[in-house]
Amino acid sequence: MKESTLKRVRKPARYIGGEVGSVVKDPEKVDVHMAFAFPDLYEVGMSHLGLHLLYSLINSHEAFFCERVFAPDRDLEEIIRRGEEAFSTLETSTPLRDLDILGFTLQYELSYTNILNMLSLAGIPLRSSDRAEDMPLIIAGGPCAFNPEPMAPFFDLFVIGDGEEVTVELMKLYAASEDKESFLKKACQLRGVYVPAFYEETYEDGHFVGHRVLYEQAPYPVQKALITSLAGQDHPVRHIVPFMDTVHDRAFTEIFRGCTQGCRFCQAGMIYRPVRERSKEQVLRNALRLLDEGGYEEVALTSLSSLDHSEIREIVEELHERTKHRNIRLSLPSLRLDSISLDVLRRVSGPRRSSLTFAPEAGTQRMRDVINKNVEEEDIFSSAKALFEEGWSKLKLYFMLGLPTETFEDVKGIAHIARELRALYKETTGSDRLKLSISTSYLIPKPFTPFQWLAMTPKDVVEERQQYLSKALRSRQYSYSYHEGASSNLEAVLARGSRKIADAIERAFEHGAVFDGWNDYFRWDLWLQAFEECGIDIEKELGERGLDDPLPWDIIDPGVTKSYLKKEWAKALEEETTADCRGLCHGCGINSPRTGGICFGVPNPL
Amino acid sequence: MVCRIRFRKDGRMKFLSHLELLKAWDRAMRREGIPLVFSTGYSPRPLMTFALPSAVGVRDMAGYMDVHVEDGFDPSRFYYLTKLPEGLEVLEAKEVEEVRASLMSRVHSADYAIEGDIEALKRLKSTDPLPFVRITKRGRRHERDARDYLLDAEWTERVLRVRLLAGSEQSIRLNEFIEALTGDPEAHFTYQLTRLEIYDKEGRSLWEP
Ligand code: SF4
Repeated sequence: MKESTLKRVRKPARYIGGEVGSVVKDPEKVDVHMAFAFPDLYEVGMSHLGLHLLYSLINSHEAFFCERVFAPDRDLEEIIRRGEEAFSTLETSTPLRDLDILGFTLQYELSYTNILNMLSLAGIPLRSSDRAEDMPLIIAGGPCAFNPEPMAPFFDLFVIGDGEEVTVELMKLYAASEDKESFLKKACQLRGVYVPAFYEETYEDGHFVGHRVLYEQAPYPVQKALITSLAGQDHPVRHIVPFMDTVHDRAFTEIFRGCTQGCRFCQAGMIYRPVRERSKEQVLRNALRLLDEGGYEEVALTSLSSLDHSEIREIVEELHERTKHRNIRLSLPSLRLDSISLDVLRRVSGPRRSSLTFAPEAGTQRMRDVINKNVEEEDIFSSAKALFEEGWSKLKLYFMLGLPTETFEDVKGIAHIARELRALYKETTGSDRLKLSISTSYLIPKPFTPFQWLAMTPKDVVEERQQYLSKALRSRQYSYSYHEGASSNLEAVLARGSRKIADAIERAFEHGAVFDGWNDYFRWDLWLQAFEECGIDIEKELGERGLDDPLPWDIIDPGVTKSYLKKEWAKALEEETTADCRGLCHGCGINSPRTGGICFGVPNPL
Repeated sequence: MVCRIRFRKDGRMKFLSHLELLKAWDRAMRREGIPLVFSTGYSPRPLMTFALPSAVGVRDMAGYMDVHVEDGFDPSRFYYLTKLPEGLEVLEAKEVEEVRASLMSRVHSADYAIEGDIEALKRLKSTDPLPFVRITKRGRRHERDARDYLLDAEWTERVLRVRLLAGSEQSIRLNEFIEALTGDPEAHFTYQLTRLEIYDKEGRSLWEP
């Protein structure tokens, strides 16, 4: 980027590159030149583990070069639109259209318009069918790729599931291929690769009825890529160390993938099955190396539920022992307010003045049973008491509204928990100074969860509940915040849509929608206009799906079976819980013969 | 013990904000395994203090930092740091016996080199006042004369070298100074700006203890 541009924009450290851990190669001397594109600002994207992981992995191959690119902030966007600067990669300022491959990560649906904006800024046609042979291959991966359909027309290929091995395979294949078409034909044979052009959606009376395979060798459904063990996966052994403050500005290392809790609203808990742990030695080796090479002052041990690692206590103790002289902080995201082991917490949570975050998700035991959030009220209070005794005085609690079968009693339960905690704090410490922040989000029925068929609870119903909580929690000790209905509805439409939604995404982008995940920029009116112009009935999109209806994401096979999801949904309605499957396999399907029964050696009973 | 470091900040590093620069040094020192001394309290931080930050986009030949390290440390090790980001470089390092005043509080004035179209700056050679407007934090507009902040100026063919007040009591930013000379608030973008040295009230370089 030009100096004159860097001098003009806000926070230029986003665009300078040159961080310790970043890699520069000569694009002329590699077989495949690609960029990892994160469709949000630098400070958001750099906090994402997957970026560091794939970057480090791809660049460890001499023949490949992976750069980075992030969404430009609005000021830089204007400069690019005026033609004063080309939209280019961070490492070598290569204009994006000169790359071989541009790979986006789909982390959240509300970043979809940013993807179109980035393609447009790069001068790359949005739809794969409009892109000539000399245009880069545009690919995507990440959790939202599990329902790729709303974005299908824009991508040449999706990677579904664990990206590490298949991405490298793809790059080898690309290097050896003559042209795009022959590449795609071979690529679709790799497990985890979905090439949308080889399928079309079919409709009857405007209802989605399924997919037709257009290229007979293309698989249906597309199985997710799965790495059966992380033992050999030590990437990233290096992090890129940002200069600017990023959202999570610390070293992070993945201690396991997958989750056995089985929360029924949680997509990650279903699509990333089964659990694959890194051993204590591996975790320690990775964490210490990141600290040594990066110079970080904090390291996070990440996963979907870090306390569930079978050796978490030993890991935390030993890491603490080996880093305490350097004043390194340890953190464990996603703590639970049950059976908290205080000794772990003491090691990881840093100063007592900081706040601890927990997600009970629902206000009553009945409601928590429905969503299978296995935490008991007594546990919440006994853990809280212990925390208060230890000196913590700030808690953040996350809940959801709009859950299936939710009644006003369940909403009152949230306020009840808040009041009880306050009373408990007073009883324990004699002081009234507890700072409690409560926040609620909407339940979004996501593909591949037992709630995938549900209607989104209407906005006005949820808003009434939010208002109740705003009143009930009006006191200096509480602060209450909630997610907006409009953007939550948009997220739901984008999450469960078919390819038809792509037209509306493109139209909304043309009308100016971008950074939809940022409250300051989100424009629901532009989306409403786009949906209307494209003939999309949002009420229908937000509505219930029949248990036997074909679903757009049936094209993907995440390993967990539909019959298991149905069973879980039936149990939810019965308020029946499903225990952590570490002790007992519930037959979700992921360890079917195909994956060789890899869950803790417990055979699938079905 | 305390070591004083004089460093260069150049290339892409000149686009770091002051806080970003602090963090870059903190992490670089940790990567190098320098035996840092930490503050006490809830969240211990390495004891490092800096003189005046140079503005974003300005090269710096006079970055000053005092860093506390464990006793017995050999300051010449700072000359052999290999894990600094490109654009940061230690120019000089030494132990300082006694730090009487913080680096920041000693800052009084600084020398800058302004390179580029210096013809456009020739108003400086007249004796006319050089007004510019400074908007305070509360939004009040104050008219000021850039001459009041100018201690010295020296012209060469391509470079204007100026000494400007830079301390906490009175200071002018380079962009304000160039705006006062050109009337264009964006003019500073077109010059290569370098801070050459910082001085205390007695006119001594901050390198001196
Ligand atoms: S196969 Fe069984 S043990 Fe494995 S994730 Fe599914 S339910 Fe759990």
